[in-house]
Amino acid sequence: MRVKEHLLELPEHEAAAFGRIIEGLQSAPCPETSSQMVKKILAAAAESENRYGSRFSPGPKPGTTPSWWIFGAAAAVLVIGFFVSSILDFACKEQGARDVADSWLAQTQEADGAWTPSRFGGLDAYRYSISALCAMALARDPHQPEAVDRTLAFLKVFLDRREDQYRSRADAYNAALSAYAFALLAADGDQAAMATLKSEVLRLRSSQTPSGGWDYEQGASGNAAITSWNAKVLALAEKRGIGEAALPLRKALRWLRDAVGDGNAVCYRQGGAIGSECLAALTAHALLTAGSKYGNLTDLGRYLVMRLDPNAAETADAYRSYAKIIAFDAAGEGGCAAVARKRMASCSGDDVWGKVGGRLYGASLRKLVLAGNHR
Amino acid sequence: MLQNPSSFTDEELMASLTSPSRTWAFEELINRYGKKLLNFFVRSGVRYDAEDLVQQTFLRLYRYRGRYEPTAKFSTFIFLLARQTWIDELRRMKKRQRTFVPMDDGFAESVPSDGKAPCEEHDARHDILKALECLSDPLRQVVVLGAIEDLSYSQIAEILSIPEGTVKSRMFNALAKMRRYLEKDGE
Repeated sequence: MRVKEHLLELPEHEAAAFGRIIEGLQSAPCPETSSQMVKKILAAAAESENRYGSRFSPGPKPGTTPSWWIFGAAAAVLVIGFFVSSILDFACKEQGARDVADSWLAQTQEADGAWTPSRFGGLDAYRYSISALCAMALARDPHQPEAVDRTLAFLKVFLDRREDQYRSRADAYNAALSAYAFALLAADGDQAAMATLKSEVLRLRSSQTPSGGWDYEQGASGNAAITSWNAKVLALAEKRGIGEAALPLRKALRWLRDAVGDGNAVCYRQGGAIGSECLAALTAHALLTAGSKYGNLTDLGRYLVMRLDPNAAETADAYRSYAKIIAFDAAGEGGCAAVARKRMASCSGDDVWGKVGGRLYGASLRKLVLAGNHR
Repeated sequence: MLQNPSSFTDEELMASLTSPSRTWAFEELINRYGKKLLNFFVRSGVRYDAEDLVQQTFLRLYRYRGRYEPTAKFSTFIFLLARQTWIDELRRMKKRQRTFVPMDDGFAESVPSDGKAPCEEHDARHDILKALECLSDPLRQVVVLGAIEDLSYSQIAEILSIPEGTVKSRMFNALAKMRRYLEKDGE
């Protein structure tokens, strides 16, 4: 017996009501599996076979002839040789690119410690956020501590004077990235820096929406990108002993958790229609790092990461590539991170944010993630 | 004549998996049942690790392929493994709750209300899924297996290790409860 036959035994009105419920259940949208799921399962099964026995062999598919295996083996040797040489080639190019980025970023820093985006195709409205990215990139180089300190002094002036509310997208990114770079890089024993960080935490607390997010649009409840950055600022501040960060951090994490909508899409605003991989990656990274002491949030972060495609054929978007790589790294998905790095390094064409951030934005983001594991 | 893997029945694919092992058969089974299992776990209340559990189920299938009796329906076998995976996950989650700080523990009261009325948009499909979520685990799994996956009551009985009569009464009780929820909600 199946349920439809069961309904035939019931009174008509009841069978009709139950039938409608069953139709509703059968037509409800089903969750989709990630693009990586099949590969991961096959890889796990092969690993299990290697550990416990060698019975799992590829074997010919039905309809094929065994003689193809001879050609297959020869092709495999050629492919492996090509792969090894392309890895070596990529490693050299990567190191070369890093060297060029390091010296170029250091050389283009202004006397006040900042960078000027308009000199390199970007908008000066984003001067603070671009300078923050450049400082984080230079901080990966052990030979540039003074350059980083100059930027922190520049950002400190900005953060000490900035208004509570964001008036524009540029305002929001300037504040969020400056605060993040400051929270990440300021020296522990620097009392003045800690005072700035504490003021920033209080400002974030007062400008947080009731639902726990931050936004630059009037009346909006929160923007996933800005909220992700600010959650990480608060987590860093809390780690540095600024207790006032705890409550707004928990509210922000709750906002991010609730931003994961039906179909596990993350949109700019909760309940939005169009999700993006960049926002999913930023949210995942925030949940995995800022939400690390909440098991269900790290599970959600890993789940979001599982659904990212490291090898997607995409238009050039250094911000999205950066977000995906840091998310893969935070989730411990080294293999996916490596694939995504290779994709980013070989990406050509105009960046979708190129007219906003210019060369500085692309160079600093590539330096941040192509230089190795980013947590 | 070349044969497409999709032309094999589930039972034939399992037979190919056992002796000698074939990756293509395993991959075809994953393609056929991956989404069904994901749906099973999500509808059973697993929010974030559902795809992990799908992976674990297929790994169990692979390891226990020698135990599969060709006389039994494959769908029964794989959902049996899925349910065992789900039970293990419940045990693991209970252990984990003792280690991690609960996000919502005593926190809701301290979050100020924004004074806005809750969203009143009704999406009938959303209500149906909410009604499903309100069921207890035993009732919900009968509905998921019987109404969504359209398994027979005898298969469900084998998967859940309960008598067929109990499957029938749980299905009735579950649908009645969902109906009361939906009618109360104004559908």
